[in-house]
Amino acid sequence: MRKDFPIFKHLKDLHYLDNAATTQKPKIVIDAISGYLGKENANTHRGIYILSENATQKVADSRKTIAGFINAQPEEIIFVRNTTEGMNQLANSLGKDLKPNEGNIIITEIEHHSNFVPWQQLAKSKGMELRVAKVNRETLLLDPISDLVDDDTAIVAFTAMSNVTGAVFDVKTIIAQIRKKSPDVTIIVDAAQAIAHQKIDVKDLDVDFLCFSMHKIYGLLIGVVYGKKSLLEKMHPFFYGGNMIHTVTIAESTWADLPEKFEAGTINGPAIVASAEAIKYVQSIGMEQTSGTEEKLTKYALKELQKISQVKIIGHTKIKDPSNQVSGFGPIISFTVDGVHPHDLATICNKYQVCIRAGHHCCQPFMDKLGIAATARASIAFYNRKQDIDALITAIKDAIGIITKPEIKIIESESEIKKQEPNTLGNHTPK
Amino acid sequence: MEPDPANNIDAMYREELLEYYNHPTNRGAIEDAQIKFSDQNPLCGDKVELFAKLGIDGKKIVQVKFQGSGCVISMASASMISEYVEGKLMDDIRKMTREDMLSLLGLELTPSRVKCAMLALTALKKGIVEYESKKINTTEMP
Repeated sequence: MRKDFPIFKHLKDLHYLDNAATTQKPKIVIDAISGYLGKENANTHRGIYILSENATQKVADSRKTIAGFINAQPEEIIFVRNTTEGMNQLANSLGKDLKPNEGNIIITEIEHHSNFVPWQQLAKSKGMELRVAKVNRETLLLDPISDLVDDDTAIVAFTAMSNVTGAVFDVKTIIAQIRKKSPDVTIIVDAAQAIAHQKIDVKDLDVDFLCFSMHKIYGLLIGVVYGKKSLLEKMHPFFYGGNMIHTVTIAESTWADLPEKFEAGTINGPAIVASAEAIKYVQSIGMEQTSGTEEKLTKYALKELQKISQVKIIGHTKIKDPSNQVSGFGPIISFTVDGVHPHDLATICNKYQVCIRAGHHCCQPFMDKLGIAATARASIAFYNRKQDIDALITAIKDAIGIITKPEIKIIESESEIKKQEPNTLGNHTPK
Repeated sequence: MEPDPANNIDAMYREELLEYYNHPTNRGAIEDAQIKFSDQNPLCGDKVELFAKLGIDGKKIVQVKFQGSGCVISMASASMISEYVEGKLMDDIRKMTREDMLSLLGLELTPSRVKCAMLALTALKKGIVEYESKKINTTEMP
């Protein structure tokens, strides 16, 4: 499988552990974009000539592939730039029909900023109440989202997988809990991380809207908004302009059918076509296979990380969630290293060609809850190997050696220890 | 291969900078500071709070202290800049550039790490701007 990815032939010693940020691309995807541009390129929906007709057909087929992957109808798939744009467009469009100063919107403390800020701002602009399901600082479990739902709830938005802890949320259960309290609330799921690691069936989940981006599942940077057909038909378009209209007069315009109604302007045909190849590629291997490999590697990484006493893993606990919201953990591991700031760790990892992420992972409210500014994060894909984890472990040990210098203990006096203010991110007091 | 600032590990984690990190100078608060400014690196969430005390002339900075948490680069930079600006004119500090900070650190850095190095200096510069605009507003008052 690793052999399918040209980057690993080009960079033989690359230990790529930043898959939650973006995945590498298989040759089949790279060939698809080059083949489309080199042999089939034309604007979609425009030309009467055969080249354009074929390009249009190819994009339509690709939409069908991507829709099928999540058990949606092709017209329920809207292409946008990325997950963030999807969330923003949903907030803008749904927001137009919300009555000001009425009702509430529910999100969670563990959301990525892309599924946090749009709803926070919508609530603000509409004078609505923003309710946030809190994370327990000790267990890292989320308070039951459905507890916040009442008859005045307009929208609930939550993630299917945390991009920080890798916590997998049981979307089906959570949605059932929400609908039990208020059947008509609009439910939006952020599947940016989940899409690459678990089978998603939008009909089975009974989700209203679900957003993800193809670049996190071996495709290109094209975002997908799934929406229930009945809802999309009632909604306002995201943008106005070409391709999305039915008729335009000086006074009024009417909208095209789904999905064009939501896709103003020329769409990114090459990225859509290549991304559909990524889906076919994943389907050809089988998601059980890819996630099985990821699970084994994650277990191995956790075992090796836990051998280093300075490493604190955030999440991946064995605590049973009493509200049945968290069902497990995906291949994302966030951690801190006592005495080593995540930035410094990531820099030292780079020396070993280990690519990890360091920062707040666009989850500042969650970081605030943890009382830290940043974590290091290793995220695994099925093409990773044990060697990648081993290289990470070597780099962590080296970083501890360089920065905390455990072998050098220069303390002049007791008073000097007292003078030292502890860094909130870890214990820098010389031992 | 071309020299890679990201792989500049030895220079980045040299004794001098680690000493600043593990034993920071000018760490703490100044109660009667005229300039107080908190800033954050939006990339990683690292925070720094800067305190600067002015001389009687109202133009020179006589003492700078900082609080916060961050990586070796951001914390060493905070200590170094706080030492460097002591006795300097606010006008001159405002003119300090990215290059000045990097030469003080003696490092070449990748763009994302430059943000770490600039955290304290940027906070200080913003604090000076805020202080001066407040001063103008108060002097203009009848």
